[in-house]
Amino acid sequence: MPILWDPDLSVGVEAIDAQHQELFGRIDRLLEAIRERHGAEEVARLLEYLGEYVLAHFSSEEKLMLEQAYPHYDAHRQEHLRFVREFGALRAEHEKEGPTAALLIRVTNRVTAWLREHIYRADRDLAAFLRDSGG
Amino acid sequence: MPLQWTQALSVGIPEIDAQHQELFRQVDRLLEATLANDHGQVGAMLTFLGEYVATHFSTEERFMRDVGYPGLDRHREEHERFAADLLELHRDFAEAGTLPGLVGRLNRQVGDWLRGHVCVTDMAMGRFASRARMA
Repeated sequence: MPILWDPDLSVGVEAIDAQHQELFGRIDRLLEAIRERHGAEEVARLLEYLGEYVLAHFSSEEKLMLEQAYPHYDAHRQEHLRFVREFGALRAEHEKEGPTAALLIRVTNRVTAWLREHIYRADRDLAAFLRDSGG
Repeated sequence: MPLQWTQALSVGIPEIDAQHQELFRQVDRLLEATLANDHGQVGAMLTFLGEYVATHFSTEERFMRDVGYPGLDRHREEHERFAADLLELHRDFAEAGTLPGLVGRLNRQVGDWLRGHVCVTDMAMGRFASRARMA
């Protein structure tokens, strides 16, 4: 059940698309580790690996938004912050309970589904703005 | 085939019985929505069901740890396999937009599985807990 990226998620800005693909690649590895029972240590490592990239990617988008004076910067950044909090809660849950069935479901529903929706809506809007402003 | 909770399915732990009843209700509502071809509802309910399954499995696993149940690991494995199946079903549905045979899969992979798991695996957990209480 791998490969969460699909062409529908392309926003038309290469740099952002590339980062999104990397994001989904890391989520894929995390989900596989939980499903295939690679163990708590491996899952913790992959949660951290994913978390790092989430932060890097969000930073990168926010920098672009500021540089191009994207009018919806605040709202978009709020969404990023909410996600980071949610992700932090999942990491804390893993620390407490280990790689459970619940974690598998929650990473899929809250991380993957959230990202897909955010990309499809918020990032597309950002990308359209960037293309229009010649960025 | 509706998923009816009856007293015969009681595992002797009120909180878990209550969650089982709610789980069965959600599956029944999901089956109804599927039969009514309400795609939007089915998608939303699959997500909701996933979250509830996560909560319920967490509750059981914490309970088993608290009472020192020796069958915890095997029980967790069943939870993990079911979670993976449920997520795959959800993903197949999301990708196809509709799913001929979704009713069949729901009955078999969700309904039948839940009934069997409660009857056998959760019952064993319940018996251990009541013996532990009497000791």
